[in-house]
Amino acid sequence: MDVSDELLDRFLDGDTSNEESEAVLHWLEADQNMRRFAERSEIHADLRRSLHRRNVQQEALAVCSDDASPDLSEYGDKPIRRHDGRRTFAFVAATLATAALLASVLFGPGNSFDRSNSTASIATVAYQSNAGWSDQQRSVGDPIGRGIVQLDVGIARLDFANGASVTLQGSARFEVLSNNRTRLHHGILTAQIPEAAIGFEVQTPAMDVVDLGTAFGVSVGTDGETGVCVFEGEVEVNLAGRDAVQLVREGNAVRSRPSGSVIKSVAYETNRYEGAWPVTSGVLQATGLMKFVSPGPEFVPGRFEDNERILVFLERSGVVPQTEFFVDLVDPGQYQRIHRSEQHAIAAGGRIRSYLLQLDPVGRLERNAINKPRVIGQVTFDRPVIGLIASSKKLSATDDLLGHPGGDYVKTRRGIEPPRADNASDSGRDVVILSVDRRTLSLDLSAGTAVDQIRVVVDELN
Amino acid sequence: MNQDLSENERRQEFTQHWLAAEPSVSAYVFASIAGFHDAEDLVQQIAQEVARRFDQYDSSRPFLGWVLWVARSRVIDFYRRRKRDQLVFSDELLQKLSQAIVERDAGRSDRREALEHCLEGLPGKSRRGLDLRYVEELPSARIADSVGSTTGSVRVLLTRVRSGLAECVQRRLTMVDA
Repeated sequence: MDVSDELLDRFLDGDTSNEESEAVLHWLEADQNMRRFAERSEIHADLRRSLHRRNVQQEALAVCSDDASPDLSEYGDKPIRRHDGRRTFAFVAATLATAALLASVLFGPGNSFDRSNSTASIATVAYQSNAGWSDQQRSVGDPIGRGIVQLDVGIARLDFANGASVTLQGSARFEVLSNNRTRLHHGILTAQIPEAAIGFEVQTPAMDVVDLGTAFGVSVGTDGETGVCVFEGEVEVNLAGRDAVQLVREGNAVRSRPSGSVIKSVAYETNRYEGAWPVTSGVLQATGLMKFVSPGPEFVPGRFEDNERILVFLERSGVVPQTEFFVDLVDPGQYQRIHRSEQHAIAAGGRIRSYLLQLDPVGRLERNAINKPRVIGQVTFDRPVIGLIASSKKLSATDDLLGHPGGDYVKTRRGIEPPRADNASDSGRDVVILSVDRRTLSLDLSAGTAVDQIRVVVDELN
Repeated sequence: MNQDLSENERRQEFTQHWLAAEPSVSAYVFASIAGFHDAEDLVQQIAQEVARRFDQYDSSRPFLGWVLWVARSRVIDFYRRRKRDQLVFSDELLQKLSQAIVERDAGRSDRREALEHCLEGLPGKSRRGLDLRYVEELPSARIADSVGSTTGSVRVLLTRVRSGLAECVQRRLTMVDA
């Protein structure tokens, strides 16, 4: 079929039905048709530009001659709204006159990358640990605008206004380009992107990484070689300067070199992200024999064991309970066995996140075996703990609501064995203490025949 | 000081490149996105991005091709943010469009200059129609209301004016070449 200029014009004006648009798109598949379309779109773009510029000139002359309200009646009998003069000015200024301005603003004095840090806050420093910044000193709560941040050592988490959370592991050179576009020049970062920030982009010298609702890690070496590891969900990657887009799903990793011609699939290896990822997921510190489990399809409760360390799994975030549920501990202090009649409930509503802490000996231990593994550690969360679940029954009862979607939860005994109130402190029972500020848990666990598990519930809104 | 000089040179280089490429970038974005405001915002975003990434530009290759590669990603981002049920250009069509725009790059500034002359000779009624569309940003139906005509007539008028201007541009360029 042929497509008339009138239909092309309406298509360019966004004034066609779905059927007409479909017909035009089909018609455009032929190269000669696309050339005709490109010619037509050029006329539209040039007319818009030229007529706007003429209008601005006309308005400027009108202002100079004290005629700020030119008569628009020549356009017809009926009143017409005056166009938005500010918009016109912005458009013309932007399209005609600002290339030099743009260059001066964006290139700025000095190093080509160290250009104007915008004062407009795009993110804030949400947490830092032993962080040494070479460009300027920063504290928790400090705003981050457009521009470069250079973290020499330590860990720092930047929380973006749109909900994206990026943790840098020093040394890292990271650039904020806009509220959803960033660039990692070198170093390691992990990112967790909520639904509201889908499309969040991390550019690197070798690849562009576009989030599609996920958690991922990016590492860039000093030579620009880039690795991407997808913990959850999926991301799109493409070689810098190339069109072809490649989808990387959770549990997969890719690597590429600057100016490389391919993006290679590589083994899913999360070791390098173990410094940054816990902070991204809300575990600020884990000391002693605690191991935060990097996410991935196989790294979920029930499938991953370690008999020497307490594993910390992020189970679910952004949970809004529809009904109340019961927990074993709600107040700071030591967890002790409570009487059945004492029930602590977490009310429906709010927004919570859950973690599972687990000491799970590889294989099975004989009851009363000597030298049972005993491990001690501390874990600090970024949000206040509002409940601990440590009894088998309550753990099972909350698996559906708070358990990891890919987790494999045993139905046998799996809680911990806390001391009774009258037990001596050295009774060999499991000890769990919640700090006064509700953010740190101290654990001293000894694994018996049951898996030692504690589910930690934190309040995401505080 | 050398750093400053090199920065100034880079700035000038970017400015020259962008000023030359921007009309074609606009045509590309206007072709792939309906709505002046969205398209103009996108052109601005593209300008900012290519300025920031100018150090990645390989000067042995055409600047416009590189900018349109960046532009394509931004257009796709825009599509993603929009309602899913709207028909949009496929990756392949965006690629073809980019190629078609690049092919038209030669003589771009001459055509724009010729268009300015052609606009001067436009009858008042035609010029008013264009102003209502491109400056006042009225859809055809509102233009029809304003000038006491029908939507169909306005569409036909605008198409004729555009086609007439395109022919005028061609005539002027032929005259200059002759």
